[in-house]
Amino acid sequence: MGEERPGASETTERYLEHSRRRALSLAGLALAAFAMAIATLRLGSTDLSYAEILRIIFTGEGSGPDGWWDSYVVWNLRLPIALSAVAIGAALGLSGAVMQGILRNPLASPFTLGLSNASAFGASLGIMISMGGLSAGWFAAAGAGGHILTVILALGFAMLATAVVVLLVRATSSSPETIVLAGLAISAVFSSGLAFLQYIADDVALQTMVFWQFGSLDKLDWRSLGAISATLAAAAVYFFYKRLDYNAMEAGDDVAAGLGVDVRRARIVGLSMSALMTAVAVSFAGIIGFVGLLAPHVARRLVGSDNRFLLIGSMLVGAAVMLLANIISQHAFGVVVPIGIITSAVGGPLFLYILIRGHKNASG
Amino acid sequence: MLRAEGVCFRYGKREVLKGVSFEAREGEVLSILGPNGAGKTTLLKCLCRAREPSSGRVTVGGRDLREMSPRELATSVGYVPQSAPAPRMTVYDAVLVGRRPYIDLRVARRDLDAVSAAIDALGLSDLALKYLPEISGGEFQKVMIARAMAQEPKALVLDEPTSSLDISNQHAAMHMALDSARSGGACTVMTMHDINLALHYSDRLLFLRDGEAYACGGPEIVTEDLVYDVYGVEADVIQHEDAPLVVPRRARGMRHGHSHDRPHSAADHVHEGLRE
Repeated sequence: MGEERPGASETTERYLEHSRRRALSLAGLALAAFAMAIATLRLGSTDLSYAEILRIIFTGEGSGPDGWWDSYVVWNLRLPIALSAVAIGAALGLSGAVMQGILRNPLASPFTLGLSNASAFGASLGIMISMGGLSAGWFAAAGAGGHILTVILALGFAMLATAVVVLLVRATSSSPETIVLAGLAISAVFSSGLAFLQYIADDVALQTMVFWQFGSLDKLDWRSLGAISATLAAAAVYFFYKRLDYNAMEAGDDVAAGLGVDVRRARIVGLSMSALMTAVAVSFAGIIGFVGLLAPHVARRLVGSDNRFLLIGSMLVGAAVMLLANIISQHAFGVVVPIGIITSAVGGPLFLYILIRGHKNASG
Repeated sequence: MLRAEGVCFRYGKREVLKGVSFEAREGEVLSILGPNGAGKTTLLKCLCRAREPSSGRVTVGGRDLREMSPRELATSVGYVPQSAPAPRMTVYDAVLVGRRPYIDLRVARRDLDAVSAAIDALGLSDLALKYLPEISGGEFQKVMIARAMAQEPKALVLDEPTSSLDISNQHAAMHMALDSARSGGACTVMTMHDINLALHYSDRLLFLRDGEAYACGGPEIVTEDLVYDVYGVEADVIQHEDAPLVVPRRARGMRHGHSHDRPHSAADHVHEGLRE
């Protein structure tokens, strides 16, 4: 990507050809994601042609007597969900790739720092408060609606968990093992807190809490999409700027430091930004499992671990997987099944398949 | 070129290095030898600022490593660890990592040339597009050396560069270390377990014992007494093809009552080195 080529040696020529193939793989992934996004706009009980969808997107109005309704369906129902699937999938894929790289751990994901349990705890607390399960006079006075309160607390507790891990790392060492273990410990604490809230919650609150944890795109609108996209864009620009630092860190901390990388800082900032990006997505959509773990593995098989390609690849795979899972969740069962259930159900077997193929390739 | 002046290092209360001083000159290959636990790897890490000496200093071209910016450090010292993770990255990409200090946003022609040159010099061109997990341990070691060479540093610092290589690759790696040092004007400093390999290829040798520099000089400093004092092993030093060769004496290899830290493992290793 971006290499100059005239007069290059034979080895370099072959390498540039290889890089072109990797760029083509990325283009293929982008095309797949685009096709699924179009399918997302097309599918549904209101039958719309591609031409009609395009007209509505570009002119804002549908044709015919039901034009207003068609326009409403595209702009308020299908487009926000399709774009949210893209943004959330890209955010989870990107943060997974960065986490796996800077922690040098193939099992790392956006949830490695205990984020999922922390945000579930925050959301559950928000649900209990807004349903009157806990005294919340000052929240009510501040005019916080139930949904917004849930989002704020989910985000707040996710970032609190991240802050604890970061402070712990700063006080001790920044080794990947410490971070992963600290994440496990934080996760356990919030898991216990979550279990306690579920234990004391009434039936309606408990059902809402459990449903939140499934993860769903139904709650998303243009405002939440804006917040998710803005964090994703900021993080993506930063990560892409640091892509060579992450490549150096793949070679070990001492080598990276010898190449001029401030390893400790890169690790702390990298995981904080990954966590923020994931926390924002999760606080609106709930917990969407496996995409952050799976997407970098799929992308790595296609374009390798070079972060110049891997970061983009992981975003595209994440987006495509989310779009596919959304189509399945909306249309495969007659009733809408929460997307979080689908991502884990589809992601698990797919992950196993990649592991088996990877093993076969390595031993063959 | 690369100079250590009174380098001390502590792990907690344990003094690992006790004021080590030496100099590696331009185009020179210097090997650091000594038994396990003598402080070789710690000294090497101080030479590339992966560890900060508790006192003393290390300079490259007269500049203290502590005063260098990260980029200046990266173009002064190239470090090759004994082992490293092998991500799913092609050999070419892994060597390109060594160009990180030179790349701002774009990989330039000069970077590709440096990578190709390092890959070709180490005989890795056929493997350039293979992924690291698909190559052998010896080939991976060469990739790590190529990465440090692509860095174009003034001093190349290698930790046990021959540890996972077979005999032909050991000699090939040593030839390359010598060639790169002499042609590029860089100096090469490496830790070695195999005393005979070090004798064959190094311009000078530094022997460490219990964190101190016991002796430093050309191959002529290696005597039977030195081998015994450093490793606690009785050995003959014979001349073979104009170079000294250390041959431990069988059965009587260990002198009774020697107070060395871990003489047995050191003696074992000399035997091991000869077998290889």
